[in-house]
Amino acid sequence: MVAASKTKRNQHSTSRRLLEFFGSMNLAITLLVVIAIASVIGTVLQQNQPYNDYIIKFGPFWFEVFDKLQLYDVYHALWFLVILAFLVISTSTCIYRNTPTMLREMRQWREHISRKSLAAFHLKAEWQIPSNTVVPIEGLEQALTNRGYKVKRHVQDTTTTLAAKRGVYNRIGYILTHAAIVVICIGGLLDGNIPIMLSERLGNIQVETRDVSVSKMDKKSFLPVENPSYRGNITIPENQAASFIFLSVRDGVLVQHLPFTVEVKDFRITHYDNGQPKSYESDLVIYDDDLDQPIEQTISVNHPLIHKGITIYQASFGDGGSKLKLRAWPLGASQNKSFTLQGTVKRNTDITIGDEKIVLEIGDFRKFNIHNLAQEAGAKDFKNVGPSFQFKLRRSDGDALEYNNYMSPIKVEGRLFMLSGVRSTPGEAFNYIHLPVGPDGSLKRFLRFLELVHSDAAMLKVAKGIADITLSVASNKDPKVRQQIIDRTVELGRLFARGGFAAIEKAVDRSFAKEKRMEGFRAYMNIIRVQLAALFERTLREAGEYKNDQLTPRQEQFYEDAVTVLTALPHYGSPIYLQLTDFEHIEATGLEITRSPGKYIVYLGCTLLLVGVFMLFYIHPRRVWVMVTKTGQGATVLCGGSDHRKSPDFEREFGIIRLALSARLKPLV
Amino acid sequence: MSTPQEVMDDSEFAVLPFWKKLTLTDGLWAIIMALGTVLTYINYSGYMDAYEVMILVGTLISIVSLGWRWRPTQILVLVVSALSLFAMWLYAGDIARGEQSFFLKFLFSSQSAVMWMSALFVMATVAYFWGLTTRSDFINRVASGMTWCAAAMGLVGLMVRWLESYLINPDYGHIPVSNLYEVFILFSIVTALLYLYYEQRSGTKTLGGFVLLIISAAVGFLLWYAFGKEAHIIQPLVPALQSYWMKIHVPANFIGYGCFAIAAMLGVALLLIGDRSKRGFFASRLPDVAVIDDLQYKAIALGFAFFTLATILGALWAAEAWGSYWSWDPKETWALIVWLNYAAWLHMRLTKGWRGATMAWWSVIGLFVTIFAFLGVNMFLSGLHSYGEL
Repeated sequence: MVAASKTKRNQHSTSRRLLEFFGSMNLAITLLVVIAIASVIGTVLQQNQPYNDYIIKFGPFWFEVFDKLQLYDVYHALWFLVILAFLVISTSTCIYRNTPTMLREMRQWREHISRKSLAAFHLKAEWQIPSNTVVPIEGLEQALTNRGYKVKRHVQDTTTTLAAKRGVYNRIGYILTHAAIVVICIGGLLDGNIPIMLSERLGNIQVETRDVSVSKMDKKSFLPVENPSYRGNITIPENQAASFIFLSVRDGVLVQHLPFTVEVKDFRITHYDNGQPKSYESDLVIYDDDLDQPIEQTISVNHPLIHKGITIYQASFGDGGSKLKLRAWPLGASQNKSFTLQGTVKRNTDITIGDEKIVLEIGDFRKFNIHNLAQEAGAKDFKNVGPSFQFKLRRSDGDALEYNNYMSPIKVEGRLFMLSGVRSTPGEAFNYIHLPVGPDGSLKRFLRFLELVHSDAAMLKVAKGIADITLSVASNKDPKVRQQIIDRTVELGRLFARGGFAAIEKAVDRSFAKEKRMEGFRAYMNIIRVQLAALFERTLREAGEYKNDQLTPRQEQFYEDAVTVLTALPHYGSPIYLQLTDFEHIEATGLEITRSPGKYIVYLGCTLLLVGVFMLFYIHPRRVWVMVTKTGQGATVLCGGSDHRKSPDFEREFGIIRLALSARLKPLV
Repeated sequence: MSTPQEVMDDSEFAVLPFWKKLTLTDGLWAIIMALGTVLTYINYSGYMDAYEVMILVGTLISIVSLGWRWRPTQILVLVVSALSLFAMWLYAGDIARGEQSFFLKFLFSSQSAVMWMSALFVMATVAYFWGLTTRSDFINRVASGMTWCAAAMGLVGLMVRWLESYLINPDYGHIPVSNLYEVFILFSIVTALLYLYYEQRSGTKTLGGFVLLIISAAVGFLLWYAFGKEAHIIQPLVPALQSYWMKIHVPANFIGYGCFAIAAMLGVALLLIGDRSKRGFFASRLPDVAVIDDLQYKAIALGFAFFTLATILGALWAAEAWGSYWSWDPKETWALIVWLNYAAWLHMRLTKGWRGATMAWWSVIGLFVTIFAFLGVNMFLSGLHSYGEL
């Protein structure tokens, strides 16, 4: 019996202790701070990126550690949800513990306050009333009412107490704000990913991490139409339709079936007169068996379509498989002439160059490229420089570099160039080579020059010329020496054509002692310059553009630009330059489709929060008591006031109340 | 038995309902505002959707209640309206007149007005500190006057910029709260007006220098941004910003930011006063610690309320534009962090009764958190909400 009651008391005190713990202000503040700090992680570490990017960034060890801590999706991590749950419990406990007290306090007048405690108030005033006068209780009450107070009169023996209060609804503000936090969290929870997380743990669903088409996916990767809440994306090319979306989960996807089919009729981007995009719009048709007629609606950013509680947003856009006509120009050694080919965006095309099979993987096509063409730094001059396409060339050994080529020549420093950018990893910026465009607006002149630079026959011819000139001023006319000079010159030219300056530098390092290398490099470069100049001259002469035996300033500039490209080409890593000659643009629209039934609960919570916050701050709770005690010598009037915020405003207010009471009492004193 | 006391008139001590406090001028002014709103509607309803008409009516209600509660704003609104209309008349529908007309070129084109605002704010800062040093009430009143003028010029600048955006190209037209340059102007004006309100309520002008200091810092940034980066050039809106939500979300946010900035600067003042018994330079000149402390609380409370409103409006907008009311975007997350920070501050003050240096330091640190949420996120973190890049 004793033991039982002890256990009961223990249980009682355990639950009380739990209540204490969860209801404590310290826990609440700690939680606020912890959530704030945890939230920072997710903003510093970019969330939901491809896992490969994380591996590259952190290395395999830290990648694992961060993955275990679920840092790639902090806000949906179990530990983060647990902290949020603690906040909800803590806040709920607070409401549970304080609401009854507060509601009681709102109703209470506290008219039984003792004289002693009133006299201990920080804000108080006292008047002595002579015995022959009557204290105007009504008047005092009126004075308080005039100040906006509600007053209750309480008479006990010789004491009359006026208990006055104002702004009691402040307490409602407290209840509303705290209830709002709970409501918002519950609403958010309904829209969260907990059901998916649970089903995954139970093995009912499985995230698809392979890069396969929907038809080849596991049945377990599909979510039913009835799923109450989801948020996913789908890219639909023009004139195609879809009835599912992809939900991205960690490094994979789930497929969510929709209760209707979305068809994209058209996707449009409109532009301002300065070329900036003005709107992204998709013409959609919704087919649903429950509808008499399909819904036709245009959506745009800020103007989604809502059907069956499911919202369809314009989220992104991309290429829907544009067809590109291309011309491949051999860069250098290859004996092939240029040839044409067709490519489709997001598909692979095989190309044969010499003996090598190369796979062309076209990744993207862009019809407009708005660039800042201003000369000075900081200035703005946006122009559309025309279409571009991005592709990878996968060599037979599996390695691939990525390229970005523009369709039309672009003016740089007053001269026209065809731009082609190259990079080895997706994270890098493209490194552009500037192929100079000839007077006919094409690359013919440059490519002919390049062909000559790589042609052994042309090189030999030039080398012979150089040897003859060299020997004409020398005394030694030994044919052996002549042949040596020719061989050396041809070799240098070939080295430069294949490897640029770097190859020449290596050759110098091999052939010269350390202190003579500068000199040697200069000598080699002189020979190469003479060769290149001769080959360029020949290029011009063939085209009938070499007049008066000298270069025009423009031709000289072209030559400089061409040589710049020659030195960069060894890093270009492609045997061909792909020129875009024509295209058929097929766009795709990126839709985000969501169902979030918790939304309205969250909005309700927000409303409660807002109303509560304003009530909490702008309704000042305050109380005033006036106690009239009859004594032998007459009466004492004692007035005290309190507001638990101890605000200077109330001090001022109390001053006015004192004056108002004094005005009523003064004639008596 | 009738006693003379019971019929005595003590109405001077009574709290009157607000309508009994209204004067004839208040009524007249409200009528002018209503007429202005009607005229705006008649002239520009073609540019507004239903929500924007609601915002127009809401603006009328807000301005009238503000003017009734705080009368000096009546004059401010009238002056700003008159000057803006004058500028509009001078422009006569042609943006090129901004360079030709003397008044536009040197006073009321948006860029000139903003320059005047900047100059006046900096001068007011100097004047406030001068007044503080010399304990001169006259100089303090001059400083206060300059702050009013600066706010007026800033508002004219924004109003005219709004007009100019339509004059450049009707397609470009939008309310000037769409990029970092424009919101810095807004921040300066809002902070100044909030300060002026508290200045009047508290009856002390000695704190002006502190608040104006942060406005001057904003002005410094504004000038660098305009001259160094040409950020003042009016650009059209990106599609995501083409929404009526911008008209309410952004101003609400900047009331919050302005309040937090004021609270932090009051915190600096509190920290400078330090030990009052030592009667240092600041301790002998600034008002009672309890007064500053109370002002700081009021600023944070008002800021918190409006920041809550702004964040909720932001969530509603996000639900319409990005497909989710909350997507843990860096901007959203940092807004939450700011909110949690001030929620904790308010809890400590209201329930634990914390005061003094700790709370002052906290509000200063709070401003740094706020600045990071406002600027840092745009500069260092990528996300959906990247409208103000440096």
